Amino acid sequence: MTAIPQKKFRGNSISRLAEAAIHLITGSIALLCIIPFIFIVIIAFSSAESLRTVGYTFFPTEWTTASFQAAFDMGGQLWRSFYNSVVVTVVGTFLSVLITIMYSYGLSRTDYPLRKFFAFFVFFTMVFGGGLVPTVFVIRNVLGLSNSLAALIVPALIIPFHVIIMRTFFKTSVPESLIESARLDGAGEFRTLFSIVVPIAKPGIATVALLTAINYWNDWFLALLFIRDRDFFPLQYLLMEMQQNIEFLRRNLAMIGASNINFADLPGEGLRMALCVIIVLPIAFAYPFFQRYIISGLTVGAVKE
Amino acid sequence: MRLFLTRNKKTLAITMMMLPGAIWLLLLRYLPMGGAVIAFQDYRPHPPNPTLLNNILNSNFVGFDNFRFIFATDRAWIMIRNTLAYNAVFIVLTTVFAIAVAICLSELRSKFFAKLYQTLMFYPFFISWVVAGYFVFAFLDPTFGMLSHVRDWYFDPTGWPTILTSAHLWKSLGFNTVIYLAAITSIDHGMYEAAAIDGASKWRQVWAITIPSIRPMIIILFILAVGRIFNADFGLFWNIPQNMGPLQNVTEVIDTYVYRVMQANIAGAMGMATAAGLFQNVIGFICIMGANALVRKFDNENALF
Amino acid sequence: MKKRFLLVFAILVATLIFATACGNNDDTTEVTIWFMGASVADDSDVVEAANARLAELGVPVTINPVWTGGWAMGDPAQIALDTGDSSVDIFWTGSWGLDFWMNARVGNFIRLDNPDNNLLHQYGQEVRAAVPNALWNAFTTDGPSGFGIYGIPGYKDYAQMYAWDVNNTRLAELGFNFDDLFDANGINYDVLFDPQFEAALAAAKAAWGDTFFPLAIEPELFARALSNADFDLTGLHAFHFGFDPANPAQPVNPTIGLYLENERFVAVIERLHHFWNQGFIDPRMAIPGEASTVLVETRNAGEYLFSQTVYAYGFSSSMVAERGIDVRFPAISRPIVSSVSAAGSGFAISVYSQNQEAAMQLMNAWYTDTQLAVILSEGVEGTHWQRDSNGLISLINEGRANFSPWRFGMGNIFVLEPRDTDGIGYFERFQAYNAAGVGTSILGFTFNSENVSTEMAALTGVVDQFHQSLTVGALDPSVAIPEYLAALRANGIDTVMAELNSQLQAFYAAR
Repeated sequence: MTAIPQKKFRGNSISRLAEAAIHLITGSIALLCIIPFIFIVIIAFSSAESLRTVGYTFFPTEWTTASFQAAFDMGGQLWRSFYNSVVVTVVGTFLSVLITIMYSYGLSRTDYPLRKFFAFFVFFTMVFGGGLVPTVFVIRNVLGLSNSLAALIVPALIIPFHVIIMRTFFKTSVPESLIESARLDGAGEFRTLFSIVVPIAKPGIATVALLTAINYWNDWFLALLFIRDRDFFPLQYLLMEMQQNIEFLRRNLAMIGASNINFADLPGEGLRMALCVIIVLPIAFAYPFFQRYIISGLTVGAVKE
Repeated sequence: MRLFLTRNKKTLAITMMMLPGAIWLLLLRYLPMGGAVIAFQDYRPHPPNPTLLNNILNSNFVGFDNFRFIFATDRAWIMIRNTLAYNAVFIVLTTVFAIAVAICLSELRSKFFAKLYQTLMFYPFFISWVVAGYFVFAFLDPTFGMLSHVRDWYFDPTGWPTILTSAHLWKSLGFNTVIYLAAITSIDHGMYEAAAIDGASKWRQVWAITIPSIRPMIIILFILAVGRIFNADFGLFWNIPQNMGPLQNVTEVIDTYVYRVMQANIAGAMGMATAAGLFQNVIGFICIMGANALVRKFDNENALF
Repeated sequence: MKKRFLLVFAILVATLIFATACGNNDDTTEVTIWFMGASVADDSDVVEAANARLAELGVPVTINPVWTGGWAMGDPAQIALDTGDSSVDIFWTGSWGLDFWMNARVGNFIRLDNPDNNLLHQYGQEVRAAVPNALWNAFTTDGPSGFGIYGIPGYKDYAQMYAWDVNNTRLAELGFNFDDLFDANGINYDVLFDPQFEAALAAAKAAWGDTFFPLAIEPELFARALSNADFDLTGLHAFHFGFDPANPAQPVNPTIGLYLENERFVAVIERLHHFWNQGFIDPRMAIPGEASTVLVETRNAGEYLFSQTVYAYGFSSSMVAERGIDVRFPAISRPIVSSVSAAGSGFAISVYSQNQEAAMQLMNAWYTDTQLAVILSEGVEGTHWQRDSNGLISLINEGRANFSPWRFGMGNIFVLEPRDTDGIGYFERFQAYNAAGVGTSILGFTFNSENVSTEMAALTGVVDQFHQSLTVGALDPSVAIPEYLAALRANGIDTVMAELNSQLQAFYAAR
């Protein structure tokens, strides 16, 4: 960069006052968004006694790490589930983004004659489906997926929403002239896609990858449908199972009869919150990795540095 | 076919790219679609060989009987009204807020703070509605709640539209912001530079460059959101009001009603749930076609298909 | 570039192959059984021991237990049945959780005494004899293969009794005498209306302050005590079977009405509303998402004066130990045997199972062989439990941390051996308690909602709107009851009630 655009960069950035206002507004919104998480952390560190006597609060009467100890006491199952979640998320995101990129690239090419057909082909599945029963049946009985990590990956490989978002990114950020010139240079379609289009569309791809990763990490429903063996439980399902147990008991306590349940076996609020924290942290730490491509592409004052 | 293949290598290459996605869609989305027929059936297993196909072939058709329950309740109007009204408000507010925040973040001089705010805003997306429910309860708890003195929250529906709308915004803002932010990142920076040289103010640049550049994304997200206007966010409407009966007037939506029915172990509930899903899909399809037609009229280039 | 593309495809293909390879490999003699309500982290020792025992017995079956879902297994299990999952052979089922009657009628469970293929006769004669007829009757229903037995009853505490749960430690602190209020051997239904009862609540409120709620109300328990557990036959929580808690067998052949129109029930609601207004009841109890947590926690902490419970045999001693206070359980009703309590727990063989005969053989062995039953309920000797000097089972806590299934809910508990905490002769005493149970006058009746499923669906919303708040006393009955009734009528309660009564009349006629 020469000195001249550097000068313009100052000229084209917002005023100090405006910036302060933006800091104030976006900063407060960010704070509002993070407070509930802080709250969850506080509950995870609150003693059961405190939860019972003063309820959920930012200011518990007594602090404890018992909930986290209880979580780690789950030992093997916790780590096993953690491992499952990581594998599913990493492999799933890679495959999913790859397929999504290839599919949406075709959709974004105005010179591709089948794009209208394939666009409708993916869009239609957004609004219509066979419903739960036939879908599960096909995945389990036709594809033979159950009780395996593949059963947690394959059914979520394509999210039509992501395909359409990705297509829009390609359309808006990749000039057709660039693809045309690559073609004139004799590059094949795959080469054009992976060495020219993909680098330009990084912010969009990072966004879709982020959303996909979160989708895999947060999923528990596929586990509910396809996993019977605890060895394949993802972390979210472990938490979900606890929560559903409690929810179930809430609905049916009077019918079961309190005597039938050993309440000591039921996880307290603290343990559930501790698990929430354990679940959120890894993906939250992975977040900046994706964000690097989303935000760093932003140029301050709209001039590339 | 042969002519088509040999004549157009480029088309073939792109079609090859789309193939993995297309096969997935065919197997996991289109194949099960035939099963939607059980919405019109009294679906039952038919031994000795109770496969899905066999069951469908042998189950009786009952016309639209499975759909009746949606309109049989005297609150059908209330839940449809709530579903539509909340979704309409959500679409407008989320879009406006997300774009505003994305633009604000893109203008911040300090990338560190832009990243920080953006990361924090994404946290709510990691937190399940069940857990978010605990957080809301911490404020509204009639005994220990921080806002319990304001009013009897769980018996007074007045505040709930605001609570639910805020909760939705809180959870979806980060998600939508990141998409718009990535779209803004992809804008060609030369355009701002040129505008600045021409003396355009920052405000003017936003309106003349940023908004038009991300317009395709706004339109696509809008069309997709409209397609789901009949599908309420179940987790939000179930977990935040905690299934509190006296609030039903402002909290009952189609999805919570269907869930109630599913929980009640009523004979034929599966057919009913499939029917309800199909009903929502058909309405969504009509809405999406309408929205798309509208967009095509004014802006053919950015229509969905 | 082409190479990279090939690589991508190779990965995809590999994934698919991997996926297929990871599918279930069903062994023909392996029977998968979905248990519930258990905290089991590691069952490998138990499965090994159980399979060894099965081999010893000469039963050509191995067991593959599924514990997924815990107490809430009903939802995933229902989805498994609805989607035709053939990998599970036997499902736990009951009047709560995975609904027995609905699934049996739809055809998700096979008829065990099917004249064309009588599994019960071929492989299950011992289990048929081991479980009393009253229980088999609750699992007899009208399904696609005709009127017959569609499930194997859990043989357990099938008589249900509603009782007060009195924190006598606190009651004594307040200077009240338990025996002045309650009759330890009688039916204490009317205590709710005793001025002394209210005086005790007021004293507790005065003594322990604003955030102490002396009446930890179990929502709808009075409605159940008045209508017996058959209150839940329809799942709607709206019907009343004209029933006297002190004498469940009366009246004979009642017709069904709405509990909201029953004077005794309205009196309960009015009384509770009166207590609610005085702050005796925790306001969180009106919130369905919070009520049970609050109830359980306040009771476990002993932070209450009076509560209610569904009493089970041997409950009091364990509660005293767990809460560290003097807990008493004076009866609200007699032990009642109803269709719902009899069908409280059982097992059924899936129509999708490929191993139906083996499944029946497994059930037969499990219900009748003490060694096998003990392995599946208590674990392996030496790892999960050991024998004390009296020869009773004494649990080993470290082992049980990984394996503590629901002991008294599954299978035949009367082939188990007593624990040291139960004492010698425990199961004989337990049998006596069951025998003292009085059958309700509609015992054996079950409701088929097929003809009124639309109305039932519409009514679930109405019930959810009023039921919880009303039954904990949060709503003013003079306003809420007429509103509730009007809403029920507007959504077709009369149609459902007419259907119920006509099915009930047919049931009486057949009896």
